[in-house]
Amino acid sequence: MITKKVCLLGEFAVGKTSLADRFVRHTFSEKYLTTVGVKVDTKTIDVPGKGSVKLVIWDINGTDGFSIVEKNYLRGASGVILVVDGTRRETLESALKLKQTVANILGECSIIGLLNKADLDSQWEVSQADIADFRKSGIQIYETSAKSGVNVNSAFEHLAQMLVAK
Amino acid sequence: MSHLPAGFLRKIRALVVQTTHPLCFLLDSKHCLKMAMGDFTYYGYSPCKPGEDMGERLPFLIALQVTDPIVLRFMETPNQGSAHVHILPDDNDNILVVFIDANEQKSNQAKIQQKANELTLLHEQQCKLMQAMRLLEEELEAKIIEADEANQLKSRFIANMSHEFRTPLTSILGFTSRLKQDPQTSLKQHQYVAGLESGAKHLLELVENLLDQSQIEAGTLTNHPAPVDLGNVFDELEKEFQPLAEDHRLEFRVIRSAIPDRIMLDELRFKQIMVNLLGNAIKFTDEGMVGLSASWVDDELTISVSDTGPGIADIDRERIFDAFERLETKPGTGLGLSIVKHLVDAMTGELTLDSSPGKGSRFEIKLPAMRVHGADNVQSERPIDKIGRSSTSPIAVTILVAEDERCIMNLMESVLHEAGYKTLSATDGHDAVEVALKAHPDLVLMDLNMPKMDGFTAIKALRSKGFSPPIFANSAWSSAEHKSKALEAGCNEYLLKPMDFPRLLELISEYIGKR
Repeated sequence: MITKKVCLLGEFAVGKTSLADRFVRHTFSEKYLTTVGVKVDTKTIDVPGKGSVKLVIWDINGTDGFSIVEKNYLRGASGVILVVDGTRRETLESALKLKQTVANILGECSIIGLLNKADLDSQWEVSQADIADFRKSGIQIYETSAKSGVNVNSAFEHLAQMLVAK
Repeated sequence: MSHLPAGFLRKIRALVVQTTHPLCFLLDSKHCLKMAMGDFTYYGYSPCKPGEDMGERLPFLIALQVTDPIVLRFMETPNQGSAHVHILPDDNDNILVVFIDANEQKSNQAKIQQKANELTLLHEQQCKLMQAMRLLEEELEAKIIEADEANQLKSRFIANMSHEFRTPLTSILGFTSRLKQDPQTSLKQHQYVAGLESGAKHLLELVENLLDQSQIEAGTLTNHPAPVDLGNVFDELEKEFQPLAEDHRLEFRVIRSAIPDRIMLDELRFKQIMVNLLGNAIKFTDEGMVGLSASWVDDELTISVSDTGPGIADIDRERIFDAFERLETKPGTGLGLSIVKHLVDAMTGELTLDSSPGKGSRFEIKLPAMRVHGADNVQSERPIDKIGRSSTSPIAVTILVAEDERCIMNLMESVLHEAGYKTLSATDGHDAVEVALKAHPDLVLMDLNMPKMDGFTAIKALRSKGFSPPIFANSAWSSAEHKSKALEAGCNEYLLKPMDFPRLLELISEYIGKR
């Protein structure tokens, strides 16, 4: 079976742990609990034409103005999911910076972007123009909601396809 | 250097083990367990035996390229605890993995990080709320400015409309008055003229009320107290409303008890109040009487307007003072009493209503005002006869009429000629200045809104060139600002169109008599 390491990256409180919980355990909690360090989960999915793929998902603590991503957490990752909180535009800027960090540490790797909290569309701050700019950087974007589950599986499945296609 | 005693070292080792709960195990290149030391269960793993494949239990090892020592700080363990995981490769492709307990450290860090993140989120939200508030404030300010501009535009429009209405009304009411006085007018024609006059006066009242209402809404309703001959004001009111009351077969009672001759009051506003109250009283009273009484106590003028009309029910007492509210029984704009209330407020007065259905109504107004001392007996130095002419022969008097409206010019000339005055005419401000300086008339009647040069400028020009005879400004502008501007320019009187011709003739006599 193919096994691939995937890292969830993004600013704090964008919903990385919630996305992993939704994808791996189909659960969601409204309560915000900061992640300290790293949580590692696995989930095996079927990729059409490629068979089963085991994703080893590293949910890494969020970045802020003071902390940076530990290089050791990224070591050996095949794919990266950059998570943005759609209701906080500044998290998009952080994600773009993280993309650069990932490129510096890992070199070429498969990246997708998740604009999370799609359920809070009335508070949405990321504009269509921002999304278009994000796409221009060569990243496939998904508007997801860890709360409702919308697009979460699709995003992970798409990344798995990208990883095994290489 | 001496070594620590063996017993002491054992104690230290026991202490380190007790506080860090180290779990060490050696894996081969395929992640199979070779040997272990420590308690797997402390970190949530089931006990393991040598030779067991640890890959499933330790997913973090998957794809981790272990070429040099690695530390994974705060790795979550299967029992939701936390450990610092040290991964050390050796030369034989073995990997030594060491778990060091980080529960307490993680708990402390989590508390700090959670608080810090929550505070940052709160701060972000606060900043966004403040920004949204600023935007809302800016929007609100823009809307207020927009609304103010629209309101000012509306006020200007209504003021202009008022002016434009007054000009033709001057002709209508003036010629109506001439027809009424003409001995050749038949009884039937008199009836037609009365209807014409009533309609024109009603139209004038509507225009005035709309103008006042627009000033109230724009907040530009002002109070300009000036010395006022109260006796004259009451004479005028009596003269205006006595015939109206008679037309309605009503008795009109006026009681003035010891009021000073001259007090400080905004005459225009005061008259508006009285005209509205008396007009309403007469309009709503079918039989009986309408009374006007005035008294003066402690620098306060008390006016009451009473009637024997249908009275006002309790339920209507408040709403009758609201704009555009009216009782259903008679037609009207519903602005009169609202304007009265605002005018009384602007004059820092007090308005009360005593009324009940079937028992008539009594509106009482108390206005603070100052008596003008030393001017109680200010009257014209020469007596004025009953028809408003001074004892000076008017034939010798020449009056310059400056007026651009042909129709109004004809009307004024007709009135003045009949009163025995000679007239000169000018149709714009330039012309007026030229004629006045050349022909030296005894008095000038100056329209303010004329082409080429307006009346204000013409008056100023005449005064600056030493022209001393009296100048009466006559205008369709009814605001106090226009009146002040005209008086500042140098006119002696400000007469509002439609003209009250008997009053005009009285004033002419008065001024000519003074010369």
